[in-house]
Amino acid sequence: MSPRERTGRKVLAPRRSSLLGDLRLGAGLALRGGRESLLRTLLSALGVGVATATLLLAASLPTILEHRDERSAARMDYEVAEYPPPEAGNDTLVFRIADTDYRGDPIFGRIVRAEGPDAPLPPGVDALPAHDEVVVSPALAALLNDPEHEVLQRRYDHTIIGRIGPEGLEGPHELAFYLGNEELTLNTAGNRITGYGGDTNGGADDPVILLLGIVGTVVMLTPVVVFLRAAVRFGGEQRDRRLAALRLMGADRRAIRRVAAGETLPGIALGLLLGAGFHHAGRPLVEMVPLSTGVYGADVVPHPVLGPLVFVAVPLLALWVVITSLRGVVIEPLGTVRRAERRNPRLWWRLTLFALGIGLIVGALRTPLGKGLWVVLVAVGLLTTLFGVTAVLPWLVDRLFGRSSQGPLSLQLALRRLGASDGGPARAISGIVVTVAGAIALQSLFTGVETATTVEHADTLEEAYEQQAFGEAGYNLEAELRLGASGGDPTRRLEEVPGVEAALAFIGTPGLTDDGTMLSVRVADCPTLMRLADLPSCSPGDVFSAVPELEQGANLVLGGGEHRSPVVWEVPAPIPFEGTLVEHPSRSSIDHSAENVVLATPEAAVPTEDAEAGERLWLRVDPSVPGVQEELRATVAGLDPTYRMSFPMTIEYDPALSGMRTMLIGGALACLAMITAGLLVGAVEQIRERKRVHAVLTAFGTRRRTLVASVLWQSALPVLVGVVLATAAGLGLGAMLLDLVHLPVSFDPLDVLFIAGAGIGMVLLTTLAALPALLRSMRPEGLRWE
Amino acid sequence: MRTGLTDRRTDPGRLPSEPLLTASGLRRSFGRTSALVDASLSLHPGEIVAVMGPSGSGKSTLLHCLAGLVRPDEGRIDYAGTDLTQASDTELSTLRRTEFGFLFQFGQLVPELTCVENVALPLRLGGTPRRRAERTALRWLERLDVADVARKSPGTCSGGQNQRVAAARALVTSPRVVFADEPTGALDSLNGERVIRMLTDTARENGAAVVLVTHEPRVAAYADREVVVRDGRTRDLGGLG
Repeated sequence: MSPRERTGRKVLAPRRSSLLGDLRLGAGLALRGGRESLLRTLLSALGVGVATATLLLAASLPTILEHRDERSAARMDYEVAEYPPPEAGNDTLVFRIADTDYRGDPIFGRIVRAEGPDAPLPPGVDALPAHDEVVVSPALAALLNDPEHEVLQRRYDHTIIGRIGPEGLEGPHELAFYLGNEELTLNTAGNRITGYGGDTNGGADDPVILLLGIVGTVVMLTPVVVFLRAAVRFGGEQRDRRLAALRLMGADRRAIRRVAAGETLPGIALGLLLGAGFHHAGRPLVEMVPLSTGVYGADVVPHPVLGPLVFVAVPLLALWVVITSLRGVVIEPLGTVRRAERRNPRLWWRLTLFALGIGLIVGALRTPLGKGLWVVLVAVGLLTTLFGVTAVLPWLVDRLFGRSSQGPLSLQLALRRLGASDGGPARAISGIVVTVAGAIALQSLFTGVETATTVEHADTLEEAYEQQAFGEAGYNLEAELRLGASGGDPTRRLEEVPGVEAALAFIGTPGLTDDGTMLSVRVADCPTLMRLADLPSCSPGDVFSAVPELEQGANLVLGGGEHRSPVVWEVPAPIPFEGTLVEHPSRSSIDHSAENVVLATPEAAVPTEDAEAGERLWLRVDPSVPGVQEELRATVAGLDPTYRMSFPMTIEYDPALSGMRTMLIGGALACLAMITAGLLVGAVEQIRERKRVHAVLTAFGTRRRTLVASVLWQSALPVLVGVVLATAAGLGLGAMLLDLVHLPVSFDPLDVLFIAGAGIGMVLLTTLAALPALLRSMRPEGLRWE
Repeated sequence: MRTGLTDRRTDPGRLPSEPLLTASGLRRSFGRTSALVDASLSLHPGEIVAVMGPSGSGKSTLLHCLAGLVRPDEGRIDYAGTDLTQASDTELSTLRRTEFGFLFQFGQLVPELTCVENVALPLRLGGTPRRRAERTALRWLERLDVADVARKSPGTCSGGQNQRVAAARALVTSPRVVFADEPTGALDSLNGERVIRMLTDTARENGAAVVLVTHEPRVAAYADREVVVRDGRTRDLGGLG
């Protein structure tokens, strides 16, 4: 029986306020609660907005990769070329891959020749280029129009007839071209196709990209949570008083929680709009990000399932932040807001969280890389580990400082405050811990990926000389010309390039003996052959063999390109030689071996034309000459636009990673800036709450610098512990992540120090920025109660 | 003033015999400090009782216990057959929403809301639609002669106006008991008198009982009966007059 029923008095039934009514009441309070409430609403909206935009961007990642993959598939040519090749017709096109790079940036290139009026058009290209005409991507066109890139202009000294549209490019920053050449045939390493386009390869399944996406999103979201937590605390004292007044009027605890949640609704609603706005406005800006080949703004479309999920998840996240910020706060009708009694932080569940995270990542090591379960295990494992680290922090701070009473007064004040706050300051900087740990882990991943991809290559030309161990002659570069050099002896023109010490040219093709031995056939005049090997003598018609089993009349299968029929050459009487053979500039593949080589003069009738043999240029280059690589490319392109050139000394890691690494530093700094903003709001709020205490302390003679120092200590001590913990956790996590994707473990100490230092710097900045509020709080006016 | 008051008082002889609220043997300590040692009080429907005593005597603690805001360590509080010391938070919240009204010295108005919204708040918490709640609130503001500040925020009103708004809010749900803790403590004598007169008049018209904590005899003079608290013990001085 309710009290009213017991009184027997006929009144309205003791109805409770409805959920909607409470939420509406809270929302009204947030919007009309004066400056502080409005500021809190705006800060919450900003936090929710950034969270929404971040998650929408993350939710767009599958679409971005899918569209990119679709466009890559749409321009597939070599992969869809048929064997044997179709007959030439009105609808066929011959092309040759001419991928290259410029100052480390890859260039997608194709030499093309239409064989009829209905030849297929590559995606994004309106008309096929005729001989000596070129269609270029906007990014390449921009470089070609820039006087700073004169060396590139010389490389592509053709008539530009158009631009490649977005549908034919991976991204807006991709360097790409289609160059027309009427001499291109199947015999000059061309391929024939009747149409472009193949199946997508599912690029989104790349485990490294998935991992980067997962960690990046977690690391980006954490500061947002920290900021939100600080934002909802802003004006907390006033809000608590208001809620207490509602309690006095009969609102029960459930209604109070609803009203408190309702107070965040305008901020959440505004934040969702802001987030959608940020996302919409930021889409064109995405194209400016120089990451890899870039991302088209039109591709940044949230996944149809993940996108709506963001609009559900973010409000829930914000409400969770509000509810947890009310934890330990008991709002009673008398307006007293009692914090839950201070408890000693327990270690076991914190370590369990941490261990669970590690366990999940270890579990991922045993599941197939990049598959569904792997992604789940890694994502949940990373989240759990990172939050496990932050959970350990309050315990560690309590253990280290909670019982200490050493040091000057400022330190004592800070320690007492830390001790009394039940882990509050440690929780406040947990965002820094997650960001620093996450950023270091990611940084390690990048360093590892780079190390893995550059392990076979030298970082500098000098190193390349040592690693490659070129032979005595020291040829360190090779260029391959399929059409043959135009305009006379190519070696003379190459030797004119500053930095080129020697150059030689010959025709080269791989060969296969009856017993399956792979060998290399090199055809050149006698003076060139004598530079290639230590031969006793040479006359036209001579054939020299370093292969002991090769006898007169043996059949060598030449060429053997994937898409055409091999050609057989009957070897005339070979002259064995044992002298030194010049090493191939790159000895890694089988036909580059220095042992199985046959040297022949042109008069020995090697059917090189039928065997699609190309002209090879070997160069000895002085690595210390600046820009020698690009000069060489420009010169060789002038000899034969279908050239291919290999630079063994080039750093061959994916330049996209370098961009991502730079962006990671930027992202980490942005996260830290967001956290700093959150910390600053929290610090100012705390100072306001302690205004009376500060005023009293000042009134009885406490020096200002003592109070300032105590505030600094209060922030600095947990941060110091946090950053040390985060660095250790980040390095450990980084090592595990590298192991996950089977990469060698390596760290860049400078990057680690930079990120950790930035974390500490941000806290100092926060303290400095909060100083004016602190100094104001020490004025005697703070003693006034009402 | 006394003479003027006599007419307004409830005739003790006409009080119903059954008390509405009875407290007996109340003890309450805060740490080592005993606020209430053995306090008792009874309140009849429609009766106005002044609780007097020096600072720190325990009179506010007594009021808080009677209203179910603070649980006594010992003792029993019966309100219409319910022991408030055993009632759950939800039951107490329901009581506060429907049976009790509160008026404190200051700080009880929500600064973010206008005066009329403040008065309507208890009704809205009880589930009354906003428009209806505000219509009722406006009538109460008129009765307490502060209808002119209805759309103003408390921050722009005088202390006296705010206390009358707070009194309207205490009475808007037609409570059976109004608990008033030093309601004139922050006001000058003229404004204080106006507020207390309006509160007691309106309570009487509405049949509400009032527990009035004050240390001012002038304010206590508006009550039907006076209880003095000293060192946590109560002494019933009986009817005034």
